[in-house]
Amino acid sequence: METKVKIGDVVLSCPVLPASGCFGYGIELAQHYDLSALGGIVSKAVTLEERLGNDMPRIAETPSGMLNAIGLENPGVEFFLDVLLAQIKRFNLPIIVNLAGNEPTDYVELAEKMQDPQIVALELNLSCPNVKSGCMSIGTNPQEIERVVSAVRRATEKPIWVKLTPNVTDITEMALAAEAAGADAISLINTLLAMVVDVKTRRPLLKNNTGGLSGPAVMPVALRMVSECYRVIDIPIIGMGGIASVEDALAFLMAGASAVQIGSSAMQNPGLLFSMKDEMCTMAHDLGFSSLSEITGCLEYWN
Amino acid sequence: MVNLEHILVLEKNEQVSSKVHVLTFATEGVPQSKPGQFFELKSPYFLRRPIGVMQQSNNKISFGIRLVGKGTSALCGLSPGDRLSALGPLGRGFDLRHVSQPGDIVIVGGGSGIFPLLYLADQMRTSGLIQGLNQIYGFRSAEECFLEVEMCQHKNNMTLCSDSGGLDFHGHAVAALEAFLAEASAKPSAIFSCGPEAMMKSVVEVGKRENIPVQVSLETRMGCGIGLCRGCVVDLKDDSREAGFRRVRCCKEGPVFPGDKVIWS
Repeated sequence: METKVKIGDVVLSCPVLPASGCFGYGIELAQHYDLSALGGIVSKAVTLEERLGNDMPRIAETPSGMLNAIGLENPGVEFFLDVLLAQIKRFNLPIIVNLAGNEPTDYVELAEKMQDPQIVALELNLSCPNVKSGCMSIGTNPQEIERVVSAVRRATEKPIWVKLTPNVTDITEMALAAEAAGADAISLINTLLAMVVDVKTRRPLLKNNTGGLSGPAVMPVALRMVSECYRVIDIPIIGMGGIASVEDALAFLMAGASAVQIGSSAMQNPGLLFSMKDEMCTMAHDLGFSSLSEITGCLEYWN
Repeated sequence: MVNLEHILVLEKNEQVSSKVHVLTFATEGVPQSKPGQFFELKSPYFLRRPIGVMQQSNNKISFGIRLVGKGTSALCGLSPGDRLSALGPLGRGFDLRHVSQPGDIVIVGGGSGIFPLLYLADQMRTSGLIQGLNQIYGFRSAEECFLEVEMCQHKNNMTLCSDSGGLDFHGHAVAALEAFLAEASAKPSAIFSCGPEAMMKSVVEVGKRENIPVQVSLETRMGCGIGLCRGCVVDLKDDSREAGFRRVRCCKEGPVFPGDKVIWS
């Protein structure tokens, strides 16, 4: 079974990636699993300055999923480049760095700093719902998306993946804006803005009041959005949102994704990330495919 | 590479009080945990449940589980022969270097925080390095006390406290600690604590006043338990940082921390 996939000019050995924020920088799981079963590594979001994130609690369980309101805690771009990148590079995998900014100019400044040849793509986080500025406030406005992506386009030669938020009326408008501004791919979806209430304390369970919903609960929404975007854009889609099994991953490919990212389910079941490639091959073979890339977009719609 | 995920087979499910079960599993191939370390046990709901080790020896591991919600109810509903996925051992346990110092050790626990302390006490006893081990365990009422004589092989120097009376000490575990320190012939070399946050905070205050180092094992809402998501952070005082503190992961850098460094929520 041919497992290689192409995301624009980027060739991945297989279409399985960890989702940003659910994998740290790969350092913890490398002690327990062979990371070469992945197509690459997607970093936790990197910002210009160190961020401490939101107050605790930041995690709440929901039916078939969870909320998080981490708030992009990370040590900042300087520490990332000086310390963490060298550790990630040791895994010898393509590196995708997720970049998040308060201001449109932050994305440009961050992109300019990502010069290492092992960094194969930049994933622009225009979708985190847990911060006051940047991110989702850009990703819910097609003009803002276009402005940020075209500015980053001018600043870097690296492929740009734009991670979009599902918290919009029409996801295709956002995808088309990213494509028009020169994005090489889009990543779909980030978490859904959500809330959990503790009736005993009459308070939202999260200190941030709201958080981002992920896990199997969001998968049907994510699939629908991948499918809608696949039909209107020509750049590849990296699909994610609640993938918890090989069937889920294949459903994303069929709906139009060229690769998938696995997030919160891999935190509960880390082995899933590392068995996924083999399981995809077995199932794809049983379904009559000879390569994983040919599955992309093969979904047959009812008239 | 060390296996992270293990399939445990339940051998015994004992209900030790109305709200507490002790689950004992066979542990073939599971690395030996240190007192204070925990496992993330699979639940039928989305998140795993982080549970501290109560005992691990002779290819068996036990967890004390307090019924607090649907996840813990599901765990307590397991039957012998059932298989359960567990990630671990996780986190850093108690720092036992203090144990080699001469002097008594005091362990202060409350509620489900008592379970990891029972393992700590057991390991200290078998290490034979300490001169005296004193355990103080608090419950809201005598009915909630789940410590059976067989669970505590050495009940010597163990004080069971109940807020509403009916046990060895009528009052809070912290009051029992203060009473113990007032009468102790020599100053203990360390205090280890696990339980409700208010209790641990008070124990740390007592430790500061008496100049005794306190280690606390914290419980936070965890996302993954394995250091990936930064959902469970704790702030520790750190004068070398501009902000005066640093933010660490409870699951990875903890759950045991020096009590005087913890910035309580």
